[in-house]
Amino acid sequence: MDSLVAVEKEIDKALDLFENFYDGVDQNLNKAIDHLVSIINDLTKIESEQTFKLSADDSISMCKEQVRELIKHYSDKHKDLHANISKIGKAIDKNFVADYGNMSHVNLIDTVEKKMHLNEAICEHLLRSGHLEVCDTLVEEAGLVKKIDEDKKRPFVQMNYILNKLKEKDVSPALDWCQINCQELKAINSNLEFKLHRLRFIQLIQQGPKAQLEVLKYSRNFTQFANDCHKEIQRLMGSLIYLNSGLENSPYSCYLGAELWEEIEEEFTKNACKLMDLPVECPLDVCINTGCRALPALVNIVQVMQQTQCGHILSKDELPIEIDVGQNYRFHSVFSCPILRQQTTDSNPPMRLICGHVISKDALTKLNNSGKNRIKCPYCPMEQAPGEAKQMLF
Amino acid sequence: MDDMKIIEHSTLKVPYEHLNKLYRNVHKTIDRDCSSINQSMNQIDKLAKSADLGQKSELLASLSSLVEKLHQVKKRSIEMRNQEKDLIEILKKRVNNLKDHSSSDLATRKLFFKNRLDRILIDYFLRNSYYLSAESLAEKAHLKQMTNIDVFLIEKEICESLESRETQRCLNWCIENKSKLKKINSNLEFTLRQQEFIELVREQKCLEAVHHARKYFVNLNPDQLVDVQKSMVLLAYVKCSDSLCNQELLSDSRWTYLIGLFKQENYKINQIPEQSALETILQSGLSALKTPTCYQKVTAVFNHNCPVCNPNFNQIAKPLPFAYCSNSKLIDAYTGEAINEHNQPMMLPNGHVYGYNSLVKLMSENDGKIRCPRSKETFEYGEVQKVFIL
Repeated sequence: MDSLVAVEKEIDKALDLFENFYDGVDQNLNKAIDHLVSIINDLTKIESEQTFKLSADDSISMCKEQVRELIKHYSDKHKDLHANISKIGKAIDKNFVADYGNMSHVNLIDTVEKKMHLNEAICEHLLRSGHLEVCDTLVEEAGLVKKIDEDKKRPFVQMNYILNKLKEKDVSPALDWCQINCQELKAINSNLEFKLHRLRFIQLIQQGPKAQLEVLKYSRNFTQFANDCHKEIQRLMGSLIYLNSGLENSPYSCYLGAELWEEIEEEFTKNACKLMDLPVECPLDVCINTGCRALPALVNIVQVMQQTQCGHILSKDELPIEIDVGQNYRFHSVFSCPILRQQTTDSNPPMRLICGHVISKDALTKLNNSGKNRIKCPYCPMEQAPGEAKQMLF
Repeated sequence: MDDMKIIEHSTLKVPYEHLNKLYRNVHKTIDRDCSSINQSMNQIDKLAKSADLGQKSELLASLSSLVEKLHQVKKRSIEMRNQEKDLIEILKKRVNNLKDHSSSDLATRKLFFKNRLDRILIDYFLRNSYYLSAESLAEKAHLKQMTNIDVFLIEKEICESLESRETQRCLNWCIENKSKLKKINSNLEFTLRQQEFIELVREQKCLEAVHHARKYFVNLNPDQLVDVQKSMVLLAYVKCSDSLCNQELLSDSRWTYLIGLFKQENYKINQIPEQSALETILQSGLSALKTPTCYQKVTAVFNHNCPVCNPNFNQIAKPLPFAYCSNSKLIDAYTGEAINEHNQPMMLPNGHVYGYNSLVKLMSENDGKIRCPRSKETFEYGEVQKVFIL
């Protein structure tokens, strides 16, 4: 934030100085023009030779001074402004990191195939965010026509249609979709349909007393949820008391918040993705969010490591520092052997000793170095044969 | 240091460079105007000193023309004032837009991040010549002002002319940006002239080629001299394609190289980073998410929420380093829940590990027996063994 404040300060300063400069230039030019015009007028009127010569000499030398001043001001003062412009540039360079701090090491996308993969991933992102035309243009320009066809687009087209309607506070397409996919939604324990009915119910209540019959009729829709959501249904029916006076000043005013609509859009997207077996969050989004989180720490390390010259961090097998991606973005188990401090892999799986402690296979082999066929657990006095350790799968 | 400082440098630097360029041009115009006014004034002064009534009309005419000149200078200065002001305003607008990054309102921040990803995509599209997609996205997302599309559109024109084997446009561009190209020791103009020479020889216009060489191959540094000597050899062959060593000089790949070189120099003088923001951020993100599990054959757990397991990113992330993990972080393969002291790890006889909560869930779904979600075998609760992760 202060980086922006610093740059903005210089920009504002420059704006002010430019304003003053050009105001001054305008003033000077106007004065000079006026003066010259008056000289012309005066000289035109003079008939006598002597007066003419004197007058001409006099007024022209005065004018010359003025014009000289004008030119000097115009050129010199504009030159001075350069200092302020370059201060802006310096502020930018000081407060921002150029060239991503040398993070870019190799070309990530160096083959035509990889480019195609990346373009596909981008298309998926565009479809999810509703930019269908942009996706079509990209498919054409990048030559992805075979990969992204109508079949792939269809679910997203439908999803975006429903989401757009939800944005306009129209729940009917979403409800239709719920009814079509009723079984699958039940299988994932979704209460999306109930929430949609709830929103419609509140919409009707907001129409006031004239809609009360409709409201009652609509509340029949809740019967199917009677078992799962009965407490919530009780609350909703209670809000009928305020049908006349409106919900704004009632204890039920929380139902009027915009967050409910945002929540329903998110809920719908989640459920739709689950049903279509798609990742809940667009993979490109996840990568970019994680990347932005990781960049500061990595750039720091690159700067430090530049002095030690042990090669770029992206050319190694493992990153040098731990990046906290947050619990939401932890998709796989990572077991780090407490003895050798290495991640376990296919060839080096985690092994459970009889006592219940877990070490990696390599560590197990190392413990068995003495070849006695008896190893002692590093964490408790339990002894066992190496073969008794069981391979684990997280 | 936050991510904005690292990612947004060129967002501000590019309009700054435009401002700089405009300033220089404005100053040239101002100097020109000033010297022209000076000239007129001196002329008038001379006339006035030696004036008599007979030359009155001449004097008056010169004075009028000076007034005319001043009017024009005034008009120009208003124009330049607006131009300079506009560019500074663009810079200011971008700074204001970037302030949303640290806004206290969650919705504003979310919108900023969404726009940032769109901007990054537009930049990627422009660099890869997907100009229509870039324009379309910029319009849909209302981001035209925050992107550097104009720089790339100029680049597009010149690249197209180079693709049709025409060098003039690019040469004009070189002349326009002569001082900046000199600062970075650019070889572009020389390479262009060399290509022209090769084309002349290809068309058997040998005399013209020699004239061309005399005119343009001057002030060469040692490397350039070697290049020139190689190309001169072409003159010695009656039919160019005679010798193998000339293939390289005559091949079309030289034009591709020229286009690449031009793009590179264009980025340098406009302060646009060479690698796209998308690739840089993806490198960091994929690396931070990459676990050995994503690439294993035996113990692979395909989590389709994991971007690295996504078939597209899986290929892209292959050469990147794995994420570093100092302490074990386990998640349940069935529910995705974290396995920790509140959800202790339990091992089934087949070696698969699940959190305690999952086992409870599995038992409730299957009459008190545990059916392993991955291997489909059924076990009793008594067969489960506890696991201690340190």
